[in-house]
Amino acid sequence: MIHLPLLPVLVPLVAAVLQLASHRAGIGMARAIGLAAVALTLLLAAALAWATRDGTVLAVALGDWPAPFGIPFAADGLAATMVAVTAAVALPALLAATDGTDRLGRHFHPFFQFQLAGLNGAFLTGDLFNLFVFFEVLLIASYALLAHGGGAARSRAGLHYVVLNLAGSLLFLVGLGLLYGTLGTLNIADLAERVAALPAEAVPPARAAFALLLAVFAFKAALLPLGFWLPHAYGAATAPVAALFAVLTKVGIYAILRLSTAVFPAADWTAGLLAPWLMPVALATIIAGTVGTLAARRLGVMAAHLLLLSTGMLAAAMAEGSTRMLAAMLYYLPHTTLVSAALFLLIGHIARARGEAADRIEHAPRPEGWSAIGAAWLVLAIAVTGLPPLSGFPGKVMLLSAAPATAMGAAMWVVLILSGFAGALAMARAGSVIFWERPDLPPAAPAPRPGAALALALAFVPLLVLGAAPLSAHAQAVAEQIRARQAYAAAALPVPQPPMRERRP
Amino acid sequence: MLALPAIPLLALACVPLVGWGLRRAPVMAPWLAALPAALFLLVLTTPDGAMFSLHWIPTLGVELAFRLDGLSRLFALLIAGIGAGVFLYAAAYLEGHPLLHRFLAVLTLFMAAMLGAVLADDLLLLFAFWELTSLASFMLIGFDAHRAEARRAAQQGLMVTVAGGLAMLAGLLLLGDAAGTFRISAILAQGSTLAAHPAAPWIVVLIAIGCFAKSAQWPLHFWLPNAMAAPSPVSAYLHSATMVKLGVYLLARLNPAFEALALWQGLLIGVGTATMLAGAVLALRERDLKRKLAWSTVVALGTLVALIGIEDPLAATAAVVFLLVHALYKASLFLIAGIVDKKAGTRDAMQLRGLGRRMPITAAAALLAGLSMAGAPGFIGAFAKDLLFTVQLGVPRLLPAVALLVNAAMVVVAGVVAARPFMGKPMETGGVAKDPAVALLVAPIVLATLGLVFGMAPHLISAAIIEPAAGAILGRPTGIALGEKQGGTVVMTMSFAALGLGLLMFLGWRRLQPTLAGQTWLDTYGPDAGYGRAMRAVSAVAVALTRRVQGGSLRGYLAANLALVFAGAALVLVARGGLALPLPGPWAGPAQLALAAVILAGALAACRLRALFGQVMAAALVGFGVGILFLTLGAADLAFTQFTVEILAIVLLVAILARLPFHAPDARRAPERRRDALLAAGVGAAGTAILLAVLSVPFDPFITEWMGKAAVPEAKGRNVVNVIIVDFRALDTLGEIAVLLIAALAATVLLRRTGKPG
Repeated sequence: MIHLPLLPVLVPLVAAVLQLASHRAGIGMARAIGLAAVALTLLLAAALAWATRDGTVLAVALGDWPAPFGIPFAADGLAATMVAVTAAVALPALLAATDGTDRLGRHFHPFFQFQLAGLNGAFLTGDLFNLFVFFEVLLIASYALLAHGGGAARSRAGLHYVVLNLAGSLLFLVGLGLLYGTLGTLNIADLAERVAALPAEAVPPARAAFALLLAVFAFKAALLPLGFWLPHAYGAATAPVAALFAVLTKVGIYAILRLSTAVFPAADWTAGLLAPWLMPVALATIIAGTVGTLAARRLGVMAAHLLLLSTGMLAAAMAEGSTRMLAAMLYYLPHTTLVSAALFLLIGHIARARGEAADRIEHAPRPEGWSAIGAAWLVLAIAVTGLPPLSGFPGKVMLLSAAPATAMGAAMWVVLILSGFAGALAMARAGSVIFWERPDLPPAAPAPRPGAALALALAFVPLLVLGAAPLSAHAQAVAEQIRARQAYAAAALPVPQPPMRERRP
Repeated sequence: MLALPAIPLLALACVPLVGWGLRRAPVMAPWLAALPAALFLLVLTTPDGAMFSLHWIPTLGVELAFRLDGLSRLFALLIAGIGAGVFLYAAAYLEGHPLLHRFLAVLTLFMAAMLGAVLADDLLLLFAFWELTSLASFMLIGFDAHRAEARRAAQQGLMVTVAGGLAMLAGLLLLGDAAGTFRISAILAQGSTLAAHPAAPWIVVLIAIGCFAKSAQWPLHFWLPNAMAAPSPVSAYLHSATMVKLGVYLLARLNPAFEALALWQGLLIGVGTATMLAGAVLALRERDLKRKLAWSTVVALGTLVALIGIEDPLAATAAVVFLLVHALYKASLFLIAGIVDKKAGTRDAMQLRGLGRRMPITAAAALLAGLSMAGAPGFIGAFAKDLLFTVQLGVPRLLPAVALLVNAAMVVVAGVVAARPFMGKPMETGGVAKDPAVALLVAPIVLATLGLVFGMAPHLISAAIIEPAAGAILGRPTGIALGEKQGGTVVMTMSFAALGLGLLMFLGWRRLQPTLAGQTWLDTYGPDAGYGRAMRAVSAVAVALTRRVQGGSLRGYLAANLALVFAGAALVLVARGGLALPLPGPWAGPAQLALAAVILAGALAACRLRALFGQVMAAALVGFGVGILFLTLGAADLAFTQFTVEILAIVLLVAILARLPFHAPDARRAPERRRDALLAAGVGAAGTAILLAVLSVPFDPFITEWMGKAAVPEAKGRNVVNVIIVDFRALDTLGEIAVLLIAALAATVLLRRTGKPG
């Protein structure tokens, strides 16, 4: 199945078109198509992960045009992991949306599928311009999803989101133009060869072009000081959308990681591009996320800040950049994405059950049957703050023990540990306000039972801890693979200088 | 060896069963005591040195490893044994409570976590169980969540122990790194070599912080009395007999590795002594029975920590004996305090009088426990006290004086809690004060009686329990059997002096207490108030900072982003000396310069014009100018594409503008406009500088040339741009089509919703 890497993009695209075509058939049809497509994508992701487990890189040349002229799709361990995480988040998110959230506006389902296509495309493509295109797809779809459901807060957050992201896209495009102007290619594997062979006088503008591009990715990843937009946008989104958005910030992280492993090590002048700024920025992001978590007065905003915090951790791990640290990061990434998504879903559930009080952190009448949701909150609080015995704990330990014995490493320790404490404080405070009874308040209507989606999302948490051994081994293997570079380069750019072909087959 | 891991894991597996089963059949609650009783027997029958290990996360070297030795056996027996009594008591204490099943499930979880923590042979596994006990404590303190003080106390306890726990995690990771393993037995096997490791001071301080927080050492002691908001069985079990001793356990566990370090000894003895003193003063000051007992627990914990810091076989023995003694009498007294609270309706030691006649059995149990606490001869408490004095006399300077004062204070506490409520004229009580049901009495009586039994027959526990545990703390056999006469006449004198001073203070307590309670500065500047202030400050600072960073103004965000990104890129360019101008070429003829002027004029006009329609037209001028520029440079196909897109865009925009009433008033003031203009000019200048630098280096035409050459023979197309769009890079085009489709869909959704004509 040589086209396997294409299918995670094609399946949602086709599903979206089918949903649009059949939109008169009612929402049931759209749900069925959507769930089937997401389930299929999950299977495909599993197949991809299976096919790449031994270090194989699956590559497809689109239209059979050879790289670097055409567009290659390349699935290595990293891409397969990202696709799998996306599908694993998408399934519970979509299930949760079928509780009626998807009826709040039109075309929720096609937008959702387009978003998935954009995400998967971004993870699988081996060409920076194509990456830009998929960024556009996921951005425009995410805007539609963010605005889904309407309301003043959502419109305002949506406007901020779309304007800032369009500016980001513009900068992305400018950066790509400049990069193409200096290096003559945008194929990721080819870039590595060109940066190594670049004449000295062309280095400064190429460096500036990379700087611009990295800034754009940092913006997409919501790293400080470019990440102001995230908390209020995510906090305003409907729960299933916010859950899916947990993957969105990872695209920026992924792009930086891809460049920093596949391209930057190729030459001396690119090797140091991240070092001076990424670590301080990452630590500042963690601090900002922590502070925001403590300051939040609504659960949604709090969860968004926790997401910001975790993005900062990923960036910090990437900035440190040793193989061990990358392995820790690749273990932590699925964990944090899934847990954040589950948290958003749970908060959506809480907000619905509480009615008027929504997700504001204040005393309100307790719905009956509240304790099951309280238990779920407790589980996620443990997971999200990295306390044992759930999956955040091995992740945190891996990050901490991979930190080097330098001032930077010490700074990482301090920031990681303090942020963990602040996270625990915020979650405990919010939980005790929301879940502990106040007899002076009248009892509220019974809470809806936590849906299947919620259960599914929560199930990932123990799954991750039981799978700690295989998952950490997998993360280690992927980290070694992306560090080695050759496999990806050989697959995405099979023949470095392809001759003119005689005929198309 | 499966019995060993079964001890904590069996208890863990029972948690959901308890929650589920007791909800359906609450009458079965007393039978739950059989679980800890069975675990007690299991611990008792498991041989010393039993080990079990299973890989958990091999990449980290974390193992599911358990090990049983003298020290962990002592703790496990206390946990399971006192657990059996507390479970029995709790089932009766909370009989009929709608949430009894949940209470007992969490209590079971706690017991499992405690057993896991003391049996774990892996530092990280121990940490996992450790944090689980904090969590269980949080839920149990907050059990009466409708009371604000319970909520506050639960959170405070969690925060102090979690904060300490995180410091400890750092210490444990450093320790694992220094030792090359997380296995505790392997670490201890390295002897005192670890004490010489350069990271040892850090390891010691960080781990000690965690242990001090857990074991309520000064100045982190304040959470423990507040935790008395929990139901009495919780106070007896978690906050006196077991959980708060976990910090002591870990210090004792790691003592052989670090005992040679002066820092270790100094830290433990210093903090332990300070804790003893603070606890003693605060215990004398307190009126609430349970809080008074809690302060005396603080004293006991300080004593234990200081004893571990003293490197001496006698000190290790004293620590073990005192630990056991304290667990027995304190759990018993807490359970009795719970009965008194329930029956007399108050816990105020000033009011409680004369209950002895109406509650004789309770009074007898209290008396037994109180005598053990006061160290009366014949009770095991007497051994503990003799050992304590002997050890403390061996450490010069402060300790003997502190020991005298503290022991006297303990006599007062014992008197006020165990004797005073039952003596004298009967008080007025709200309800009928009488002895409670048997289920409530069994545990306190048994625990209190054990103090007498072990005191009479020390050989029962000496070789089996005390010596192996003390040996584990010391790292070598102590050679001291319980019951041997310790110390000489000096110790005897001191012992009597403490008893006498204590009795005097007890008799004067009615007058002493108000004086001490009047010292309000102890509260105002105490760590409890400091905790409250710190929490409020954290919130205030967080809110203020977040408001600053996320001002909520879109223009502010945009300006900051653009400025930062371009300033960064330009800085990278300039700092590396990359400023360069491209060589003049055919692209810069008079016609091109004229077109450039037109484009520039269009851009400026778009900025200056106020009407949207005019702005669209000005932007169109830019687009067409660029198109013509392409034409003059020979790129006819590109120009054609540009014209098509431009015309389409204008038609669409004009059509929309004609139908929708857009107004775009400019709310900016003059300074803001100037600032924006400056920013725009700066961003433009930075972009231009980078672009010029890019143009000044030769372009690599490899891909362009290939596409030019391949278009006709390979792709059968004469227009290269078209071939690129629909063939070479067709996926990009597919993506852009998708973008357009989504944008159109999104627009219809938005327009329909706003109710404007679409």
